[in-house]
Amino acid sequence: MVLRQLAAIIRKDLRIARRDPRFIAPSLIVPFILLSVYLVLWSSVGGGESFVCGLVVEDQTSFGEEMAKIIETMKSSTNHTWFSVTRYGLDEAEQLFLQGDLIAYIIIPDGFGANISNNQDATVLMRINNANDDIVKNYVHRIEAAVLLYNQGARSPDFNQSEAKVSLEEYHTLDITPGNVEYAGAVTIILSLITCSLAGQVMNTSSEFESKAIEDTLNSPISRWVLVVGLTLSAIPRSVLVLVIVFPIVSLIVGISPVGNPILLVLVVLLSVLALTPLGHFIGVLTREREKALLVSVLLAVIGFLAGGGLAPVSLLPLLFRVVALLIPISHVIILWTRLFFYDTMSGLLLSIFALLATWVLFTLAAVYVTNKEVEG
Amino acid sequence: MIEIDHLSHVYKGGIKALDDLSFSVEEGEILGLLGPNGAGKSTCVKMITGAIRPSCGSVRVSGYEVFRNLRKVRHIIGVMPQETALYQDLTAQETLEYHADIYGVPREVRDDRIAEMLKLAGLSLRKDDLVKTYSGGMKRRLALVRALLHDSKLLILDEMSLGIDVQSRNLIWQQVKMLKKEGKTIIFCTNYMDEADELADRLVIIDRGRLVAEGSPQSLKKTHVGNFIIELEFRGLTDEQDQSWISEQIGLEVELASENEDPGIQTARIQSEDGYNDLPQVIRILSNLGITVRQASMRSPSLGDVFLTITGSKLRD
Ligand SMILES: Nc1ncnc2c1ncn2[C@@H]1O[C@H](COP(=O)(O)OP(=O)(O)O)[C@@H](O)[C@H]1O
Ligand SMILES: [Mg+2]
Repeated sequence: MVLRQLAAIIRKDLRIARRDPRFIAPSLIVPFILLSVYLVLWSSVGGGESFVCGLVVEDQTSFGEEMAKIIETMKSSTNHTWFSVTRYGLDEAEQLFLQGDLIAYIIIPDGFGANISNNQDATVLMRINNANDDIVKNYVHRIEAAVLLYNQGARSPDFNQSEAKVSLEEYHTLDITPGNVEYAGAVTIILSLITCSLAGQVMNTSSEFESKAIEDTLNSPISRWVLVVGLTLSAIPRSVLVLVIVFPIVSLIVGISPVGNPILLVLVVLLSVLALTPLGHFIGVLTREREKALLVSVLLAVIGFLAGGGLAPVSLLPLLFRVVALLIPISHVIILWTRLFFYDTMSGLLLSIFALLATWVLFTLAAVYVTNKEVEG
Repeated sequence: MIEIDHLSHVYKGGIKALDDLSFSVEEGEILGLLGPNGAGKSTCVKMITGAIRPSCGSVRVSGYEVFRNLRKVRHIIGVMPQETALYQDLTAQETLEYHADIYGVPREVRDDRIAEMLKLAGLSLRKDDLVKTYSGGMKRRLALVRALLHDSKLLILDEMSLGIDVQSRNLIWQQVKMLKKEGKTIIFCTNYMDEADELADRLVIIDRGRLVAEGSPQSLKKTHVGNFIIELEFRGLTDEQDQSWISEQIGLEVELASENEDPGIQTARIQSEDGYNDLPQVIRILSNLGITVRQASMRSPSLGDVFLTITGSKLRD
């Protein structure tokens, strides 16, 4: 009996979704707007090889040339995007800098080599347009590192530091560091799923209330548990469909493909839909009008996306924000997804898995409760 | 079958929709809830189906207290809601399949039963078209047979003929009469007096959430109105010649209304036990008083007259 009722609900929901595929629209629009905003922001404000740092080598000695080589060939040990270095004459560099075409340039001045040979202090100069903190850090750190390496006797191109007095060994918690754009791409993919299962269900539920079509179900002897579980299950194929559309598009645009275990990724998707759909139904029962519901759910998806580590990984947020973010189920969806997208490991993910399971149970309970209460206030 | 006991309901926002309403419905009876829009009819039936919890009072269906036995009660009720609450993107066939599955209509009979219902609604040929392509009457007919599909003992029909064509209305009326023959208990809400008159064994008349009269259509007319209604249109009344003056002259209770465009013309409504003698007499008395009768008519009383007599206002306002 229960299985028959479940099947009936799922069949009904999927038929309606097939005939009225408007539910897909927000799931496509919202993530892509955020992705394009992000891409535009990122390529116009900070980071990336598109930013050129000028290098002016006035010193003609081998010391000067060696310093220049270090600056030019130095690599980031994480694969964060870095600026590229191009050599210019002094006048040209100055002019480009004034025009805003160069954000910074470095001068290795005449006499740099001579000073070193004479055991006197040698100086490298740098001019930076410090409009953005990120950029300043990026440039300054690089030149600082270069100077450090030079002092330590590192030699381009292998930067062999065996002669150095101090050496550095780095350990990374994660195998690779996704670039900002790659991270945003992965988040866009999962955001479409979030929008579909959360906002989509808010819309579904509220329009069933608005059109009163839900009355037939509510007047029937069907258990409210079966109703909530049924609509949660029917959200799975809908959400997967959206993913199937968005995934290849974003992968192509951003040039990413998942590293993690595909089975685990699929499980994360399932868990996310299970957790977010009852939440959507819950909100839908409370809003009851399509218009209101649309507003609320898009707002929710965007807030959740921002607070949930959509633009920067949650683990990098200040403590207070991190605590707040971890209270939002969307954060855990993003944490799980981005982790499994870029790394093949489940370590440290137990909290998020638990949080999503709890969300599923909690909001199924809450959804049953509000559906049960009364049809009208 | 149904006992409604001191039922009151106040909606959020403070609208008092029901005020100490009590009545009962016998098994096999067709009960009409008659009252103007906003009287509280829908609120009342939603409490019978368990869709709204009453602020106070109790509803029992088949001996079960509704809010303690929602599942049991929902099994024995078939509802046709006031709004045509159908999924626009399903076909009639799918609508009925869904209903049969959630109500647990036995699988062996499901498809036959659905075919029978589609035929009853006159929708067999359109069964695979989406509901959103149907006319208002077709949707109403579908909603009716959906309520019948799981063959429940008790049927609740809220405004069955709201905004539909005459053919659909006749079809639905016919089916209601057939269902009565099958021994179903039916409660219907309406603000059409002809519908109430035609279908109901017994009527509960509600106004502003309160029960104002109860009884069969015949007995209601008899007790509250009399055998005949005489209606007159005349001119020539002066300002001092008011309702009580004219009642005294004629010797019968007269209600005056000046609802004509021409302010000089007035309408009178007179309840009479013996219309064939009273009508010529009234006309004679009025002409003797110098009042010109422009139009006179006599008819049997309607439920609208009952409502007007009891509440002093018209049913369809
Ligand atoms: N959900 C609701 N919230 C607040 N007031 C309501 C609601 N539904 C009905 N009402 C009010 O309750 C009164 C009775 O309504 P209703 O039962 O629908 O009357 P009827 O069916 O007789 O036309 C009306 O004044 C109506 O405005
Ligand atoms: Mg009503």
